[in-house]
Amino acid sequence: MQSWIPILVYLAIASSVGFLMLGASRVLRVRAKDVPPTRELTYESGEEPVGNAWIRFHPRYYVVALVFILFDVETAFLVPWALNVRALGRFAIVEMIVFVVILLLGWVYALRKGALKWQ
Amino acid sequence: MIIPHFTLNDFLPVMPVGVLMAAAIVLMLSEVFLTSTTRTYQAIIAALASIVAGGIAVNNAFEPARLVLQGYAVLDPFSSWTTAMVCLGTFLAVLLSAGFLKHRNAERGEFYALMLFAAAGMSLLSLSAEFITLFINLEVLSVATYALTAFLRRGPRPSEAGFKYFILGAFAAALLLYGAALIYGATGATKLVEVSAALPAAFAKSPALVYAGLGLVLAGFAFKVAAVPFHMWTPDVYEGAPTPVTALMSAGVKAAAFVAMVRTFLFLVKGIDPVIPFTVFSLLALLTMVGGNLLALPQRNVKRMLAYSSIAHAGYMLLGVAALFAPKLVEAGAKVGVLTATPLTGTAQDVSVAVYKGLLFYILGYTVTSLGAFGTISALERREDETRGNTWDLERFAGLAQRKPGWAAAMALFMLSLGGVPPTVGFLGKLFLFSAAVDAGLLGLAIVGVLSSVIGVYFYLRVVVYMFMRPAPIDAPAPFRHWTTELALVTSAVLVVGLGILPGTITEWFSRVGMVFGH
Amino acid sequence: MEKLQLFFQTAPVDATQAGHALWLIIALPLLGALISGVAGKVIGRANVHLVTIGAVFGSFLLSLLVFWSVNDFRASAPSPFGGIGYAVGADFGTWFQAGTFRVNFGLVVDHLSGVMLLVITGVGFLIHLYSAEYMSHDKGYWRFFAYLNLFIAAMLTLVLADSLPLLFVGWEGVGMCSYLLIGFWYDDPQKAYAGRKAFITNRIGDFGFLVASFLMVLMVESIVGLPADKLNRAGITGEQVSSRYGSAVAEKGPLAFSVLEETAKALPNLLDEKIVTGPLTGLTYELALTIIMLCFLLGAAGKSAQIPLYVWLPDAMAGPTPVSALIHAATMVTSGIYLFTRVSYLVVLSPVAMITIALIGATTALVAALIAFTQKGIKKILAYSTVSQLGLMFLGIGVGAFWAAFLHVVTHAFFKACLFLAAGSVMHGNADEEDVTKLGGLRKEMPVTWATFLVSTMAITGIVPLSGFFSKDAILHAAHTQHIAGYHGLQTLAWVMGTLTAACTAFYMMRAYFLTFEGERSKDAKTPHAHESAPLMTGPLVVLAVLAVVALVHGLPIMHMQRGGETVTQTLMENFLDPVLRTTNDLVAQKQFLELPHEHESMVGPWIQAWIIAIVSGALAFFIYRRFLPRGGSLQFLEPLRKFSFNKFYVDEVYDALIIKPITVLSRILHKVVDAVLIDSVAVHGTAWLTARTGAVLRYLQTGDAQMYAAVMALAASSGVVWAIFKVLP
Repeated sequence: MQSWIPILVYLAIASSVGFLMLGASRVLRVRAKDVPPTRELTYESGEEPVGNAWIRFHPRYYVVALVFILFDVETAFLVPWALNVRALGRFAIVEMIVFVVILLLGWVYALRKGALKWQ
Repeated sequence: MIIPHFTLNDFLPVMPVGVLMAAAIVLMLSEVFLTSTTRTYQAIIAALASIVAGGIAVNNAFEPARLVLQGYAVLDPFSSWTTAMVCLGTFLAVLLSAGFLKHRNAERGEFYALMLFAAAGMSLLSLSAEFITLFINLEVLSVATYALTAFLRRGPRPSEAGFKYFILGAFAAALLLYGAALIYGATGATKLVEVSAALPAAFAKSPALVYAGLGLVLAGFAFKVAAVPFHMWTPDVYEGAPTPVTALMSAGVKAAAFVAMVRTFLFLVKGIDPVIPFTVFSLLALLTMVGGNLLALPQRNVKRMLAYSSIAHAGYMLLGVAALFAPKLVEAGAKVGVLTATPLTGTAQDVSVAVYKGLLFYILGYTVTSLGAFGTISALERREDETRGNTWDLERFAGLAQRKPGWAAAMALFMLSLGGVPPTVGFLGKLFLFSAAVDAGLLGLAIVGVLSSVIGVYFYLRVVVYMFMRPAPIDAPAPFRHWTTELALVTSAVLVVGLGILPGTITEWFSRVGMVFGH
Repeated sequence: MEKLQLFFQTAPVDATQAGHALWLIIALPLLGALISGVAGKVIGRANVHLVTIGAVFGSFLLSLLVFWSVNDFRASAPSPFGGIGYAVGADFGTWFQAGTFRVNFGLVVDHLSGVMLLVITGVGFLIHLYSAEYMSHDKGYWRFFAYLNLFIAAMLTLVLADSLPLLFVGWEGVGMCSYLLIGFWYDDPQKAYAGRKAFITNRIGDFGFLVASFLMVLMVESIVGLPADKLNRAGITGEQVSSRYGSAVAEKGPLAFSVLEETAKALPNLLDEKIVTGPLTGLTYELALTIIMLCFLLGAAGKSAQIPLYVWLPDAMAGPTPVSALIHAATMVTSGIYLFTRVSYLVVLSPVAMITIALIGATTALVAALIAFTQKGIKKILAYSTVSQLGLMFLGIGVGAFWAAFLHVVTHAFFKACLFLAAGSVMHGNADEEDVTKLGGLRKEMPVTWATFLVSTMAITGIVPLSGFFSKDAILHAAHTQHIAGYHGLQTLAWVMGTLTAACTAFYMMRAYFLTFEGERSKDAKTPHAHESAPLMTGPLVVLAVLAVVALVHGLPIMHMQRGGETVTQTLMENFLDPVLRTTNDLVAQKQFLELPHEHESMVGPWIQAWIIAIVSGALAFFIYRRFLPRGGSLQFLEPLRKFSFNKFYVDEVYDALIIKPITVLSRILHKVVDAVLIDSVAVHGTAWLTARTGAVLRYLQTGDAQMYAAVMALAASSGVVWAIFKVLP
């Protein structure tokens, strides 16, 4: 049971931090008399939002995003490989070629399928 | 830094997967490069790939059991046979899909590619010997099946099913991953062999952590094998998915998950009080056998009934798993109970060989039977019935024997096999598992299993009654004809009877020693 | 003579090969049955005849070859466990196994089953030929021939079996075929009823057979478990016996005949011992053996129509006449005698069983003969005559004259089959008239039928140069001279009854003969003129009549053999069966349960006796039915007796009142109360209802709400973890 005490303490601290912050902001915040219209808007990095957020997105957003993530992850594999490729030798090169070729085939598929066409 | 050195030998176990993956990629590219209007060739490519992969797997099954790929995977007959049976299931499912998709004008190379990906995931899952690998392979398998479930997008059911499957599957995968993380935290290892070595010490140090980890890992597996109470997604998803996909899920996914679960837990029970895994598995088996059969009982929807039936069948397999984990040391004069082991002869026998044989044979039998049963349904269902919501109603099977005696006979055969009536393969599978359970002393549980399978006979035979003894409705559906569907059904039927009558060589192969690595 | 002997003793086929081909003898008619049964309607009458008759003929030829091999002096090597010497056979390995109990599938032919083989296939072949003509107007010919072939296959299985379980397969098979053939014309409810009656009566016997087999297993296993010193036998040590016996049981199974023979050899020293292991604990071996033999007697009584189970055989005449000839006269009904001859070494160890068998046989013989006095149907008379003759055979078994009983089986097969076929021919030529009082004067109209019927009647009556005399006399002689230890009085009674039966036989057979063939044609006859049957029917008649005469060779005391330093004269049959009965004879000599006569009497005395009996009874029949009552009426002062006999001693009525009625009432009660209310309503429907309700309730948990599903999963996982944690943490 001993080993659980740190976790319980951690849990208590974590939850109390949350309450503390919310409580602090409630106490410290400035209460404006009249609410400006922009304050109720969704935060869009300074841009003024156009229309409601609850709209139907075109699926191609997702397709593009998915393809992006796939190739993004590829980088995550490529970087450590590149750092060690000398030590790993020929086998690693062959392996990475296989990996990249498979991804390339996927890319070809996506391309031919028109996943990257914005129309 | 350790520089890995791989030999070709290391890649032996993943060769079937390589074949499946390559064929999948070819199929995907064929879809974008070739513009032929007839697409049966895609099914043929997929079927051939599964045959080749299955052949390699059978070949692998005679290799001695060993660790490969630096301990991340095993090559043992258990996994190789599973791969072979997954390939058999995929072969049949692909053939069924060809006719099914053509009938719905939905033939796409991606469908077969996804099936092959799923099959690759199943094969890999059965040979994973490390938690991360296990998880990745589970996801490969899961993502492919999520997509397959919702493949026929039109209509509310497929998307609902796909969504539910995805959400709950992700939840279960998260449980499993969390469990693996806890075990890693306790032992500092992810490779099963190392975990197993470090577990006794970890137990001594922080038992609760290990228990939490084991429980969560088990929950993740229980979801995949659809054990009660982790089964609730099953009927909804099985009903919503395209029927050939349901068939593959009920056979292949379950088989792979079972094998992975058995393998993982064989490593993870080191140093633990043997009563605990035994009790947990017994309880799961009890709930699953009884629950699956009871839930299937009131169903008039045959597809949904088969979904519940697949839960019940998972229960029988869990009975075998429970027998595997039955405590070897039993107090003298222990009482016979449902969740206790009381060997009849006084000393517990080592039933592991019998359980492995039983499990593999059961998987094989259930694969051919379930593919056949779902396949028959898939050939009978009509899109236009879906609006009325009675696609799979028992009424739709009424009088099939008069209209299409061959189809009715095949369906009756599959139903009898599911019910465990000799001389079908279903009977032998049950016999092997139940007798292994009795030998391990699980008398009470085996009796419950037999009783619950009696309930099962009722709803399986009800289908037969409808087919043979009820007059056909006026608008009764006739099965669509496609040679691949018929080939698949004939193959299944022949295997159901053939394996039921002549199981000799197969059971001999399944009962060799050294079946599972490390045991 | 020597050359002839040498010729018969050098078979053209190798004994081992013949043994491995034995299954063919069974397979041929089985195949014939299959073809005829499945495709008979399609391939037509002529082809069905070709296939089925050809199959039986093929079996007959094979049987001849095998029989030859059995005779071969080179095949005399004893079996590895000291079983039946002079045998041809093959063991095809384990048939089924449960725990340590196993049964092998083995076929064996020795002198005993060899003779049966020839009778079954030979007489069977003749009757097939006859049936081709007899059934020429019947639409169900293909069914008939399929059943007939199936019967031959089953009967052959029965005699070829080398273990009790396989014998039982044939035993049940012939019973089933008999049922199918008695009820062949199933659209006549009475005939269908007769079939059922035969089947159910036989089931009672089969129950006895099964119980006997089970008890036999227990006894054999108790002997296996005995300490070696209990098994000492002349010449060999107990250890040798014990290990040999154990390995025989392990290898061949406890119910193989070779094992039973070994058991019999082990038993003489054990008879007074108590069984110490198994469920039979506490009984002496003698008592256990007696119980087993009596159970076998029940089984044999069912199949061979003995008191109390004989009632089915007369009714079995509802079937087509060739069936009566083949199944209910020549072959199937003799399987009880075959069974006892097969296990004769066990029979002679139990005097109680022997005297019971003898008394049952003698009583049956006399009662059936008395009933036959007054019957009107020609087939009924022959049926009761069959029951009576079977009774005589049982008498022979009971007094230990196995060879005589078996000789009677063979001769009876010839003359009784001939009589039945002749009766069939009579019916065929007289528009199916069965009643002897409505026939008459057929001698001139049906000369061949008349001649063969007369020869066979003389054979069954026991006129001296015919075969029937030799077999019957051998039985009666044995009943008179061989004494079962301790039962002299009862045995004398049995002998008297047997002799009376012989006298009765002559009377009722002559009555049937006179009424049918002599005198004037009855005014009640259905057709004004009878016509002689076709050659296909008369041919087998002639062959069988000739056989009925020629078979007398077997009964001639022409063999001389050395035994114990003196020359013993034996009949051909006794000498021929000697290899089969060797163990039996040794046991008789050892235990002295049976006192054999020292001197072999001259045969002249019995010959004259038989002549007198036959002629006096025959003359009586002649006077009564030719002189006083040429029209078959009855003598007034004997009327009550006649009625009593005509109504078959009211046995059917007594059975109905004592057994069938109470059982019917009891089963009705059971049906109404136990079955309908307790089992159907409460147990069956109640369980189903409860199960279905549970399923229906559980169904409501399946809401389709994914959040709920996830919640249940989470709850289950966490409760599992919590349970595990609390299980280990204090």
